Amino acid sequence: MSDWIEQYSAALTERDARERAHKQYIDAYTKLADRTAALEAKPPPVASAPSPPPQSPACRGRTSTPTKGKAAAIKETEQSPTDPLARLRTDLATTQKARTTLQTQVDELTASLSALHTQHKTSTTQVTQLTRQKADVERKLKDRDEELKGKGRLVEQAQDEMVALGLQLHMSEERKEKLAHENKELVDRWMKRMGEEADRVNRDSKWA
Amino acid sequence: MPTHVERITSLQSKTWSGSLALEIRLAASDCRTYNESEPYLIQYPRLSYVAFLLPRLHAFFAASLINPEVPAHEAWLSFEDVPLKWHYPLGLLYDLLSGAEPVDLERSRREEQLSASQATAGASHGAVPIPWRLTIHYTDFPGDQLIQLDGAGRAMLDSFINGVKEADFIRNGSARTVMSLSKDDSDKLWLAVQTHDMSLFNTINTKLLNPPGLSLRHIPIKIYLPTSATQPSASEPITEETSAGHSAGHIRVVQSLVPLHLPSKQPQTLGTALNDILPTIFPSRRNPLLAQPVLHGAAVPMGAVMEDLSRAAAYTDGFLHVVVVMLG
Repeated sequence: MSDWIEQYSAALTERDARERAHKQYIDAYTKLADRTAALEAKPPPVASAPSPPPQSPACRGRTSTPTKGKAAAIKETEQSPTDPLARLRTDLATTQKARTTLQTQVDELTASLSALHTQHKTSTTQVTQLTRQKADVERKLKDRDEELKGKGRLVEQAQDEMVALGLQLHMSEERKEKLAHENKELVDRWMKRMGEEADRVNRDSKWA
Repeated sequence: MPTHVERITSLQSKTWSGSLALEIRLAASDCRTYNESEPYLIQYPRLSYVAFLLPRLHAFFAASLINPEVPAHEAWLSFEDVPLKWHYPLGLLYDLLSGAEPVDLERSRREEQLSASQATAGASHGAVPIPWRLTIHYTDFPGDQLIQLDGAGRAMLDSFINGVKEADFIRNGSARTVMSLSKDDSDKLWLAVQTHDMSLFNTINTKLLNPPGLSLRHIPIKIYLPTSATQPSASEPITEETSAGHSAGHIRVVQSLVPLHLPSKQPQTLGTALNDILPTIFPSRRNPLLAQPVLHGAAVPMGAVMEDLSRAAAYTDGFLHVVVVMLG
């Protein structure tokens, strides 16, 4: 049962090892920071104490001449150092606030700008790729057209040859028939003559 | 062999010695030099309240403030644009908002066994966290989310005393003990909180923990849930919807009566209590399956006995502020 105490204790020790790792340096820093704060707080009151007394007689002296030394003028001059100061402070506060909003806007815009840049780059690469593809395809198309034309010409040639060969064949066949006819005629004449010769020979042998 | 009481005391001193490194910077819109002011680094106790730092911070940042006439108590602190509530102790704020991983030796041991060859297991769990970066503002006080402080520290004292009274009521069924503390005692208690003095605190706290004639009935505990967790159907809790700003999302506080002992006369452990109050998030009484309870930056074993845990590890207002961290 008391095992949980040990477990939890060990976990806390581990946690301290992590969270208090830089304790010395941080404590040293804190000491210095507090000392700086204390030192900064001391001089300004010392400096500001002598400054208001010389300021106010100077103000009074300066402003009394133009406003002809009225009591109301003195009161106004004593208040005027604080009014512009308060005004400046509010102005500075609003400017800083505006600056933060502008800063966030600028960050957003730069982020969207860089996003658009990358988009633009990818788009241009896509465009160049596509134009190249288009050029390739067009060239292929042209090549194929030329091939077709060439093939058409070949086809015509082949057809012409066929016609010529056909004519030749026709002519050759006619000649062959004529020759065959001549041949038959010649063979017939020779056979007739042979027959006549044979008859003459037969007749001559009978007579002798 | 240390006795039980000694072990509880040593656990309490461990709890009290916990501190966090803070890096506090002045908000740009309040700074004369916009974003060139230096940070204020401090190692601050987990059990203390950030409101006590305001005078020192004011002294440090006075040179860079646009309007140095703003009093120290009108400042407010934020983490990533989420205002830090004054009545939450620093340890609770860190566990809730910083997103730092709590120490869980069981899980890291198990993970090391599984990935024995990987050297990364050791590296990630031994990581030293950087100081917690907070921003201090002197304008645009978020009155709808923070209570307004006063120069004498009365608002802090009042909220602290309220917490103590609430804890006392839960413990005993009546706030008689706190109300009957002498003025001297209550002053000593508040001084102990302000100066982070454990022995002075214990002299008064023992009176609250051992009231004459009354027996301790329930353990004061507040459970903080990030609402990204599934909404559990808690049994009769007192829920407060506290919105902790846009980025952090909402945080739900669950409170329920946790008796010292179970009906079976066995002492109540953290596991049984969580299983009873939030059964959907803690289905098992012994093992943290879906989420783990984190107190003071470390996972608490589910077998922790509630009474002892309350004596050793409670915050100064008497409560155990437990944050639920989802696993995985």
